[in-house]
Formats: sequence, C-alpha cells, structure tokens
Amino acid sequence: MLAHLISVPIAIGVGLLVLASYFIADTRLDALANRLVYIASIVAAFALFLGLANLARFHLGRVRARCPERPYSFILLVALASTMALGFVGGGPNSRWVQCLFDNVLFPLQAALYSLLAFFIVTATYRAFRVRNVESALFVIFAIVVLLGQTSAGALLWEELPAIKDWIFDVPVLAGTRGILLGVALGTLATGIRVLLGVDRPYVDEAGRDKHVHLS
Amino acid sequence: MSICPNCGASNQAGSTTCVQCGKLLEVIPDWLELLLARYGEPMPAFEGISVECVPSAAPTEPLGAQRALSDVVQPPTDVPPEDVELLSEVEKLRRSAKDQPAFVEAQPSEETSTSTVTSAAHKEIDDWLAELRALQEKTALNSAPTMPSEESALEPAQPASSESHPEQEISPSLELPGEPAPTKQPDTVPGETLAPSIEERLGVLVPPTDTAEGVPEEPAPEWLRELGLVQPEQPVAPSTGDSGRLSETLGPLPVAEASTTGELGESSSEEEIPDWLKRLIAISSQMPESPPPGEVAEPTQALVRGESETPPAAEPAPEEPLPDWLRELEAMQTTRLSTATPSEEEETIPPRSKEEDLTGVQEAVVPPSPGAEEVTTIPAAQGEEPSPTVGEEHPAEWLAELEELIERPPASQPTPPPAEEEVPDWLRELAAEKPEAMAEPQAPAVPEIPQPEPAELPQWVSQLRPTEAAAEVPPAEPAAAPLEEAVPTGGEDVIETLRASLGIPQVPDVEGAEMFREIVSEPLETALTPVPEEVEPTPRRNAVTVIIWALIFAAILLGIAILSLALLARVQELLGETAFQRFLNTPAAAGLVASLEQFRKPVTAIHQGDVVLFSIEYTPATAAEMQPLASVILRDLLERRARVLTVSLQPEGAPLAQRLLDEANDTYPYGQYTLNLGYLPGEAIGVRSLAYLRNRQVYASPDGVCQFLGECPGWRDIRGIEDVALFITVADSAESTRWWIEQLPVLSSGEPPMLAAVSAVALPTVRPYLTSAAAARSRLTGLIGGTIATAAYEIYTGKPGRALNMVAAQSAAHLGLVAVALAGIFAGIRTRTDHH
Amino acid sequence: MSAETIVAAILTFMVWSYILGDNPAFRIAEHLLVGTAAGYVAIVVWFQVIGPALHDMVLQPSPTTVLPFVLCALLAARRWPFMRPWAAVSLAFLVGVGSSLAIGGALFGTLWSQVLATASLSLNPADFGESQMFLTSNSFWQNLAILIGTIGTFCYFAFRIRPGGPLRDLRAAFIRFWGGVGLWMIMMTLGALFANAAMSRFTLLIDRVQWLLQVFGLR
Repeated sequence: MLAHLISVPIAIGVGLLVLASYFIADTRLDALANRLVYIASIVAAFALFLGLANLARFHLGRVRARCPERPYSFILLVALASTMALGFVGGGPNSRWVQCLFDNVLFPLQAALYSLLAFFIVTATYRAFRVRNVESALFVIFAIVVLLGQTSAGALLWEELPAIKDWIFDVPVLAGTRGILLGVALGTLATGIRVLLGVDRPYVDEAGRDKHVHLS
Repeated sequence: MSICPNCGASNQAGSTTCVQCGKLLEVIPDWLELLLARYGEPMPAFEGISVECVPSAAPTEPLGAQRALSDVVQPPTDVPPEDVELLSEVEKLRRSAKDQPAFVEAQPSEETSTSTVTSAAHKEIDDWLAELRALQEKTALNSAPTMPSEESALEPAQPASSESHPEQEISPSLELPGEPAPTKQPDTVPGETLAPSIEERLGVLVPPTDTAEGVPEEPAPEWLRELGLVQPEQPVAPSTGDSGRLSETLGPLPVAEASTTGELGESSSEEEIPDWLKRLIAISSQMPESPPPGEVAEPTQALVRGESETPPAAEPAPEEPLPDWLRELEAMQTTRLSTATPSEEEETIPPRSKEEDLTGVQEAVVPPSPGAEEVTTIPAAQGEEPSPTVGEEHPAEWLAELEELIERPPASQPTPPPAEEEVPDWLRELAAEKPEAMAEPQAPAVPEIPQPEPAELPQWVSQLRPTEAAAEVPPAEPAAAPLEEAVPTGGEDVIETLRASLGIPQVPDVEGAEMFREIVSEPLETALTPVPEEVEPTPRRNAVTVIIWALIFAAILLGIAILSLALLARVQELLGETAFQRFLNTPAAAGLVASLEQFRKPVTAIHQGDVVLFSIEYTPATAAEMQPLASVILRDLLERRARVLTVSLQPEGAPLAQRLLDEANDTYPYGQYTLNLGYLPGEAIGVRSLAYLRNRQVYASPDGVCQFLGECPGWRDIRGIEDVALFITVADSAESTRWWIEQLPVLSSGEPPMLAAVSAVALPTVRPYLTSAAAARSRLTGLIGGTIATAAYEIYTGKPGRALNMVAAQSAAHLGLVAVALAGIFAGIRTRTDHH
Repeated sequence: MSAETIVAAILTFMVWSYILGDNPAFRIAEHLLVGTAAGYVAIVVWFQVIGPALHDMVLQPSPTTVLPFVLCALLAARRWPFMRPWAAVSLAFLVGVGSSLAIGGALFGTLWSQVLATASLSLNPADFGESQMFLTSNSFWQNLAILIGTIGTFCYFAFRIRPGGPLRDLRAAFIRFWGGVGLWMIMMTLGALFANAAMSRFTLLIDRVQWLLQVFGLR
C-alpha cells in the first residue's frame, strides 16, 4: 500500500515535469526534463533485459516439463545463449563472430520471413477482391489503380494512370490518413491525460488495480 | 343473469340495478351461494322475488301473513317453461301450507302479478325490505339457530329450489340464525297491519328485540359466532330507525353483517333456532332423530339468503307434519349420505362456475311477484325455542365440512346420483333438460368438469415446458391431470369470498405449485446434453493442394528469376531499366519526379562538414527495400562531404547502419565522414535522449579509442543537437517516423529541416506531415518512399543500384497481382450469379 | 559460395517451406530466429546502454547516474512477490515519462499541425484567380475534397449515433452523412495502402530471389 502511495505521485509528478517542458521555455526545466528522460531510457533498456529473461525462463520451463515442443525451445535457448556468449566474449556487437551471426543467420531469417508475405498477399488479393457494395468497389478500384500507377507498366497501359495515382495520394488518401491521425492523436491525448491524472494506473499490480478510481 | 323481480327484465349477473326499471337488484351473498352450491341446492325460487332480489320487490306484507297458496301470484308471462313448472310446484306447496296460520295470515288477500305491481307495492316492498334489513342489522343473527316452527312457510321455497338444482344436495347444515319471530309487530311499514310484524317474520333471522330488555338470552352458538352472524355481547339495537344502516344486500357476508351489527351493540344472548332450521341441520348432520316438527331445511337456505328476499314467513307451527317435499328432501339426504363417503361428500358438488350456478338457479327461480314472496320465504321461526345443542353441534359439522371444502376442493368424483325413487319428478326433468349445465354425475372416474374458461397455464410456465411436451400439448390447453385436483374455476370466486368472509387463510395455489414443481423437476436433458461442437472440418492438405501451391510458388520465383536475368528481352525492354528511365522523362512521372526533387533539395543544400543526423529505422526484415534507399541517400550526402551521424531506435538498426557505413567506407572512411551512434532505447524517449548527443556511446569506435562522440576526433566540435543541420530518417514504418517528427521540434531549438525516406507501406500515412510543413512549420520537408522512388533516386544520382534492378520484376509483379485481382473479382461475380 | 552463404540459403529455404504448411524445418528456423534476435538485442542493449551507464555511475556518481540503477534494481525485484509493489515505482516512472512525451508529441506534433494544415486549405475563390476561375481550378476542388474527406473520416471514428437526446434525428442524420463520407475515404485509403503493402512485400521477395540467384551463381 505504501508503495502504491509512492508510485502514483511519482508517475504524476514526473509526467507533469516533462510535459511542462513542452509549454515552458526554461533551460532549467528543459535540463530537468532531459535528465528524467535519460533516466527513463536506461530503465527502458533494462526492461528489455527483463523481457529476455522472461523468454528464457519460459522456454526453459518447457524443456524441463518435457513438452512436445521442447526440442524447439531447446534450439531457442541454445541460439540465445550462443549469441550472448559470442557477444559478451567477442567484445560486443561489432565483433566478427557477432557480425557473422547477424549477416548469415539473423538477416536471412528475417528477410525470408517477410518475403513470405508476398505469397499471402497474392492469395489474399484473390479472396478479398470481391465487389459486394460501394465501399468494396472503391477499395478494389483504388487498389488496382495504385498498383498500376506505381510502376512504369501502368504508364504503358494508360499514360494517365500515374497522374491518377498521384491525385489519389494527394486528395482522398491524404484526407483519410489525416482523419486517422487526428483520431489517433486525440486517443493518445486522452490516454496520457488519464495516466497523468492518476485515473489509469497501469503500473500498479493486479491487487492494486482494483482500487482504481475510474472517472469515466 | 338475474331477473328483475319488478319488471322481469334480464340483467347481467352481478348488476346491482335493473337496466330497465332501475330497481335495485339484490345479490345473493357469496357464502350462501357457496352453501347452496356445495349441497346442490339451487336458489329457491320465490314467487315474486328473484334470486337477486330487489328491495322494492320485497313483499309488502309479512311473510307470516302471506297469501294462501291458492292466491299465489301467477308466474309472469316471460317465465321460462321450467320456471313455470317450478311455480306450479310452489303453488302446490303453498296449498299444503294453508293451514299455517301465520303463513296464511301473511298471505296477501290479493294476488298480484309482476305486471300489476304498482308503485305503491314497490314502495311497500321497499319499506318491508328495509325493515327487514333494519331488524337484521339491529339484532345480530343468532348463533343459535332455531328451526322455524312454521314449516309451511318454507314449503313453497323447497320445491322451487329443489327444481332448480336437483343434483345438489340440500344443505343440511344451513343454519339460520333465528329465533321465533317476535311477537311485537313493528308499525313502520304501512300495509302490514294485517301481517305479522317484521320481527316475527325475521324471527329466524334476528333475535327478538325484547331480549335486550331483560329476557335472558342464551349465548350464541359458536358456529354462528364464527360465521359472524352474531356479535357477542353486543346489544341488539332497536329494530326501528336503523333501516338506513342496513346494507343494500342485507349483509352479503356474515362477517360484514357482524360488523354492521356491531353498531347495534347487543349480542344475541338469546338465540332460537327455528324448527325447520333444526331439521335442516339434522339432515345435514345425518342425525337420525326426527327433526322438530315444522322444521324445514329448505326454507333455511332461503332464510340464509333471504336478507334480500322477503322476510321469513310466518312462524312455523310446532309439531306440524312434515310436508312431502321435506320428506323427500330428507330421504334424498339420507340416501346420499348413506352412500357417499366422507370424502365424496365434499366432492359431490360438481364444480361449476359461479355463473352456471347463478344461471341454473335463476332459471329455476320464479320471477318476482310481489305477492308471492310470502309463500316462498322462510317461515318465521317465531316463538320457537332454540335448540342450542343441536345448533351447536350441527353448525360445527356443517362449518367443518365447509372448511374442508375450502381447503380441499372437491375431487373429481362425481356426485352419486340419488336413487331413482327418491328423485322427484321435477328434479329429474330439470336434470334432463339441462344435462350440459351440470357435471356428469355418472362418470366413475374423472368427471367432466365443464369449465367455460379452461385453465390456462401462465406463459412463463408454458415456456418452461419441454419442447417435446410443448409440441404435443398446446400451451392453451388446460392440463388434464391437474384438473382432477383443480379447484373448480367456477367455484373459485365463491370459495375465495367465503374464505375471506370466514377469515380462513388463503390456501396457496397448490395446483400451480405442483405444476411448477413438475416442470422444474423434469430432467434437464436438453440443457445437460452436451452439444456437440460443430468442429469445422480441417481442410485436408492433400498431395494435390501441395503440388498446386508448389507450382504457384515456383512460377512466381521463375518469373522473377527470368525477369531478373533479363532472359526475356522484350519484357526487359518494356519494363526494365531503360523503360523506367524513359518513364521518368514522361509527364506521367511528374509526381514522382517532383517529390524526388523536393526531397533532394535540402540534401543538395548541405555544405561540406555539415552534420546530418541519419536515423536507420528498419530491420533486416525490410532491409531489402530500405537498404537501397538508405544507401543512395547516404551516398548523396557523402558526396556533399557532409558528416553523417547514424542512430537507430531499433536494436537491429545499429548493425544495419554499420553495414551501410561500411559499404561507403572505401570512399568515405568511417570515423571521418560517418559515425555510428548505435541504439537509442525507449523509442520516443530515445529521441529525446539525443539531448545528450555529445555523450552518446559510439557503436563502433573508429580508432578503437574513443567511446563517446565528444571524444572522437573530427567530432569534438559537436556540442549537441543544435549543431545538426539536417535530419533524415529512413524508416520502414510510420510510427518510428512519427516519433521523430513529434519529438524533434522540442529537442532542437533551431529549425533544421527534416526528410523522411519510408517504405511504400508507410508512405501514405506519413504524407499528411509533409503537406502541413508550410502551414505548421513542420520539420518534414521532403518525403519519398518505395522501390520505384529509390530507383528514380538512383537514376538521378547516376548510380544505379539494386532498386533499379528490381524495377522490371516489380512492374511484372504488379501486373500479375492486378490479374489475380481481376480473377478474384470475376470469381466473386460468378459465385454470386450461381447463388442467385 | 561460402559456408555462411550456404547456411543463409538453407535457412531461407527452411523459412519458405512454410508455403507448403507448418513443418519442423520452419519451426526450427522460427525458433532459431527468435533466439538469435533475443541474444543480439541483449548484446546491443548491454554494450550500448547499460554498460556505459554503469561506467558513468561508477566513475561519476550522481543522482542522474545512480537513480537509473536504483530503479532498475526495483524493476528486477519484481520477480519476488513481496517486492512487487516496489517495482511499481520504476514502472510509474517509465509510464509517467512516456505518457508526457506521448501527450506532447500528439499535441504539438500531430494534432496542432494537422488541424492547422487542414484549416489552412484555402477555399477563397480569390486565391485561385479571377472571378469564377476557382470553379475550374483543380486546387480549389482538391482543397474542398480534402476538407470534406478529413472531416468525414474524423467523424466516422469519433462519433456514434446515440439514441435519445435533443435533436437526435438531426444529429443522427449529421453523423450518418459525415460518417458515410468518412467511410468512403477510408476505403479509398485502405485500397491505396493495400497496393503499397503489396508493392513493398513484392520487393522483399524479389530481393530474396535475386540474392539466391546470386548465391547460386545465376546472376
């Protein structure tokens, strides 16, 4: 309970200090805000370590529990340990072994994984392009126009296609994305204000979460 | 339906006034109806007086001085045939009662018919009835019934009532509070000079008024007190002057009457049961003793009901021979009681609706005639000594039976038919005429209970019924089984009224509770039955499907390979680098070119030595698209001799940036023109952490010595973010771009421009920030994205790279995807057409 | 063709085997990727962030250099239940800073700039030339379309038809109209986004194929 009484004022106080630097042009306030931000960046980086530790603990438990998928968990743990060993022993991410690991294991795996999306986009195109109503018709028409207008092949089919594509991006797409951004910004504002006011306390554990005062 | 005794018009049941003449219709008290219904006794048909008697139709003369039977008013013209027969029977009874002095004397000298009732007669009737009520209210109905000695006065009533309800038992326990009619004659009502006083006529109803003056009164029997007919220790109010307090209906409920008689304040200490009442009681209690002479059971019923009717008839003469009808009644009762079981006794009354009862009764009722009431009314039990013993025992039993009837509705056992030889002809004929109105007495098992309104289950109960049961049995149908124990719907109101009047607590709805219990106790088969989950059949990946997909995959790869290998010259000519270069020179590529020029404008404005903060915001997953773009931009910057600092908000971005810088290391050595500051944790927090730019840890030390930016040679002049001349972010997502766009203006007080080179996915989402630059002084002044833009950039810088090599394949892929899209559209149209 | 290249190629095919369905090869490649990526992240974070911060704390102890590790220690202590409430202090610090940055960025970086950009769209006929020329001006109609589309898209996300209340019919009609306009704009945007996403993913596939061709010496 005492910890909860301390954490809430910390969140509110720190947040208000950093937020004030947006509105008040003061060097000391800016300096204080920058220090707080620097401290938070280190804590955030350390939180990555905790995430990795949790990952390791999970898969280690699967190996110990002799789950059917324990071979894969074992591979994961081996890869994790090997990479960390190479990095800590080799002297950092710039070490030769780590770079080799990065270039020949991490890079091709991630690249191949994302290249799979092209196949699924083809199948999704065949299934999703069904003209049922006006909205779906707009979706289909605009997708086809943009696909053709993006490349020189569209210009070969119809020389106006690239211009139409540009108009699409300059007018309807701009309007749509701007409206989306406005909504996202308002949502972000509302969420942040709720946190700064202490209404939402995502940092409190499950027991303390019941004591929230929901103003909404 | 009730018939107006004045005009003979039919009125709706329950109506209090006649719709035609406006006379007040008397309502039979519910408790009396119940009694009569219980024992199958119809409402006695009194000449001149209907069941729902009108006070004004009350006889002008006391009952005791009623006309002779011969002078009985002829039945009115609109009397139904059966009623005509009843009237004839009544006449017979009257003749037999000729020797009843009180009765005879009470008979009017003139016969009047319904049609000849004059207004004066009406007034006399009203006055008479009012007096009757007054007496009744004043003196509490005796709890010690005394059988009327004047059985002749009851004779007319008997056949009429018997005719109307042959199947019903004559109520043996009808107890009438009564005592001999007082000798004193009231002088309130004109026209009654020749008739016995009201007190005399009401002798069986009310105690003598002089009882309060010193005549010791016997304590009211308990049964009578329970009925509420007598208020203990309450003086009897004078009979006169209280007519106005009488209720309209002369006390529909004994309790009500008791409350009213409370005003009178005199208890009936002396109660006398008329002989006829005693007889009735004896009959009902199955006592073999012969009833006192003159006691007539039938008139007792009328007397009980008779607050709306004529006053009791003349005092029954003591030791009078029993009339034939009474003998028959006794025989019937004896037979019935000997054959019926105790339980059957309670169930002998077929459940009938109240309306049926009233209808059946009223059909047999003799229409009212002013001069006939004295014939059919209760003989005045004046002067008779009460028989407390009898009255106390028999009323208790009768009451007990009544209570049992209330608690336990009569079962479905039929009423055993009376012996053929005991059933009077009129009763048989009446039964033959109205078989449908009565319950089937010969049904051995479940009787057919005629219910005009079959019991309907509540909707909520019907919904609980199982589906199979609900499908079989319509919800509107009444349940057959519970009907066996069901309370007759017709008699429910009567019972409820009587229950309320007697102060008996309400019986819970046993039927409904049992039904509900049955329903809820049914096994929840449907609910507990596990519903088999509808498992969608997993699509079996058979060999054919695998082969098909493998062929598709191979085709795509082959096409790309072919295009990449430029095996197809014509395809290359159309879609290759040359075509693309031609495309850029066409007006069709104006937009692309404009955006590219807008992006390159700040780049070309860079001076030598200017610090450019180059953020790498992509991962190896999207490096295929972003790496060429980042590379061409970097080269463009390095060619201007700018100093490029690379940072990344992604952990994998730092090595990618390092790889990028290493590619340019040959021309632009790392540490001199480029420096990698590595990873900035915290996303948006990392951008703000650039406030400590000088203290940033380098990703890779250029000379192996310096660890921080401020230590590295050639970079020590940089104090902070304000020394950066240009911000360029190469991002594969709009979110990371947005972090930079939002946090950078706060970080840097100056106004260095910002450029964004994004993937094709993020291009539309980042575009709004570009167009707002002019208005909102946003830092984003240039935006390009996608492979095509990269290829164009490569052409503009004169250094073709990987992007330009992918143009042909990219164009072909777009064309193929459009073809797939069109195929999907046509497939959808065909599917919809097939469905239609 | 080096061994590393062969390994990379093999891993590429193992990932591509997912086209034929989930199989052990793909699962191995998947778990290998996760493990390697997690390890690499740990290395980068340690050498880029934690290490230098520890170095600063040791050499230059100050509230700025010590406090981060106090918070890190509290965060690490969350593993023990009795210390969990105290871990909330570190999380509260992070949440507070992050929320304020999000608020400031959304307010000044997005909301203000976008609203100002939309409002600055000129619909003044005089800005487009002489009288009646604005009718033939593409810019005028583009501005009008952008304005209407932006408002409609925002209304589609922000407002709902609610029953009751004063002027409910007028309100419902208003929301229906603008929501319909916004829906159309959104569908157009999604179509364009889909096309661009397809373009981006095709680029990735093309690059991988070309790399394979290069690895196998076909290019």
